[in-house]
Amino acid sequence: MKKISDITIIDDDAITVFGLRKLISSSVECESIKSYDNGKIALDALTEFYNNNKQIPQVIFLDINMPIMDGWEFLEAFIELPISNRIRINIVTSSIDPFDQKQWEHYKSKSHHLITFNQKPIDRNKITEITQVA
Amino acid sequence: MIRSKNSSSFSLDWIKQIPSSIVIIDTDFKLISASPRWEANFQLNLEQIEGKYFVDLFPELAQELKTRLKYSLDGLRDIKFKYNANECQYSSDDSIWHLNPWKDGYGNIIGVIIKIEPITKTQELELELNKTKLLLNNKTSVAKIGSFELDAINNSLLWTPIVNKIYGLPVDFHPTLETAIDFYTDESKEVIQKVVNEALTLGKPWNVKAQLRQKDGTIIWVNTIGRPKFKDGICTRIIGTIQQVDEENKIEVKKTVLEAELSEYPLFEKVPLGLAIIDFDNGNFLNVNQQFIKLSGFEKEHFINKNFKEFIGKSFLNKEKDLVTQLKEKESFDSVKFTFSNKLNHTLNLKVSGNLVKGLNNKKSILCTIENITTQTKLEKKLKNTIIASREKNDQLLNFAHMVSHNLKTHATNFSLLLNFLNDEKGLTQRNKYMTMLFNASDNLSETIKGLREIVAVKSNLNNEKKLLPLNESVFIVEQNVAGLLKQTNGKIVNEIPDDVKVKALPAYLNSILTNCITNSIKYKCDNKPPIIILSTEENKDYTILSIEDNGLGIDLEKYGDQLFGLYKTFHRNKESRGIGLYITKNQMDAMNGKITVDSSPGQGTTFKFYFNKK
Repeated sequence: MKKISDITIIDDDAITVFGLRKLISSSVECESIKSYDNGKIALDALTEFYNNNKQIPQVIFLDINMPIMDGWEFLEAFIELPISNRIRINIVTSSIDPFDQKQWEHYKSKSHHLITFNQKPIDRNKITEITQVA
Repeated sequence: MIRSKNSSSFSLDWIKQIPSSIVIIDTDFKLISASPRWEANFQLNLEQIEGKYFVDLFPELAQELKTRLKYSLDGLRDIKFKYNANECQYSSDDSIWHLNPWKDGYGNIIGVIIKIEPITKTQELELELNKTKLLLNNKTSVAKIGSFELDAINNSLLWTPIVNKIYGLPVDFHPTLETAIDFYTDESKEVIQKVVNEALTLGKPWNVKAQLRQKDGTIIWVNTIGRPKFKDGICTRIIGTIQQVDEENKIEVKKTVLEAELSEYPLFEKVPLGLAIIDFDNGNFLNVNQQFIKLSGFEKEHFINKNFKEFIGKSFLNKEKDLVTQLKEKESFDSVKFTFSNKLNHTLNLKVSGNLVKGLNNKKSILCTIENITTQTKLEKKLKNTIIASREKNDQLLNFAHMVSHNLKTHATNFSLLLNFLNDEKGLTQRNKYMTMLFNASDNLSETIKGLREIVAVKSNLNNEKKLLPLNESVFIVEQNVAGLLKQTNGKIVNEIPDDVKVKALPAYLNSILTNCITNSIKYKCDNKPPIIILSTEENKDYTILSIEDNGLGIDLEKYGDQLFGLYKTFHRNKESRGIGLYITKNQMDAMNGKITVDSSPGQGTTFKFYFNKK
């Protein structure tokens, strides 16, 4: 398995972030895992990375329901960044709203990044499967 | 130059000059002359018909025409006769023929002058009316009219072949007065003898109804009329008619337009649906039925012979052209709705559809059905509103269900995640860490459920009655509740609400709304300045409007405007944000038939306006 340099988690729920961190670090090899409380903070950070030619994370775990800037708003802005590398974005949600499913299909077709839609809970096998360089 | 072939020697040139339509006939019913207008009217060439037997030109009318011409020759003035274009071949226009005796310079009748006048509506109705009266009186119809002439001096009787028919006798039978009277039944015989005697001796004309036994023994009713003619004090002759009057209407008789229409729709009056017959040519009501009368509250006379346009709203008039087009194209029009004010000045919603019908005279009229759909329209409107409301509710519920399931599922997955970790972990320090997180997760779950309970409470309180509440009383209570918070932040509430302002609201909702909004103003204050909250009210026709203005963080409405009142939407990085407050506030205002508006921009503070419905 190819080693992953950077993984980012965007979620406002501390327990989910903790769980994901634990699952990822025990399942795959990676150099660093960063996490952000909502889409706005994450976007600001990633934009700053891009502008300063810093490493953009190869895998992003993205929650949908977050205050200030939710997952969809983050995606909308993120795919506008002229990043040539193909980034893997794993949406992780407990939403069963068909609207979210539609949104996912919309962004998936719109972007060259690999975007997946995952229902909670996420187990170890799932983590291994979706934590790979796109 | 046309010359009379009659013995009269005076010139008939004048007839060529007159503009009206006139034809002249001699005593033998031969056509003598006609005016150019008459020629044109009937598209006949005078030179070809001059001297011809006039009645032959109008075979369809022969019988009626002959009788009337005879009366005219007897000196009867101004006999009116309706010429029905449909039944005859020459003219396409209905007209009235005025028959008058034509006299020479000595007062001798030498023929008949027939003047043809275009028919006017009134005349037509008059004629029809007279006819109807006659028909109603007799309750029978005219079958056959025969005429006779009794030469009183020579005691000889002549009659037309129709009389032979009435008597059931062969055409070549020649009657005498005695044989003629013999055919009457015993009772009638006395009557007839009496009237004939009175006519001969006293000059009294008769008009009697009598029973006649036909040759084959069949007994029929006849109506006989006789007019004695006197010369030098002696009765010289009696002319008259004999008509078979038949109880069973064997022969079709023209009736009034109205009656014709009625007989075509025998159930007209009885149909439990408004019906109206409208003249296609001029738009006048010809008849309306009982149900229509009931519907409108007016009498029948209110409509008859008046134009339909007098009774309907202007909006309908625009459709008139379309309706006429439809009638011409497919002889009916699709149902249209319009409003009508009845006698009690109630506005009714009516649905009208119409069919083009042709009466006996080939007269076009529109048969309309009028349905009162006021109740249906009202119910339909109500139903539509209910559907919209339930659809909204349904959407809300679905949204709510998604939200709830999402939130509860988040907690559930967190529990299972942490419990799994706990299960795998042996180290005490790490296990304690998981335990702490589990307690947090449990608190979060309780908090979420508490929020859901508040939301459900709003939805289940809908049936409570609103009360008129002094606004300031509620404000004071809330001010006390937030006093601690206010003190912490050095905040200030400026209350500009007059003490007499009252709003119609549910007490629990009003407190909740005020608390929510004022706490928000304090919670989302600017970091560098203490919060100032200004309360004021204004009034309009329907609402008492409460404004709550603050100098806080403000909200970017362009970005979040549509989500502001959504569930679990938070816009500021604040640990206490739950995303429930404004959602509940909005629901509470909705439940009280009020509304809520917001005006804000980031860093500039926020103004919420609460519209409390006065009803």
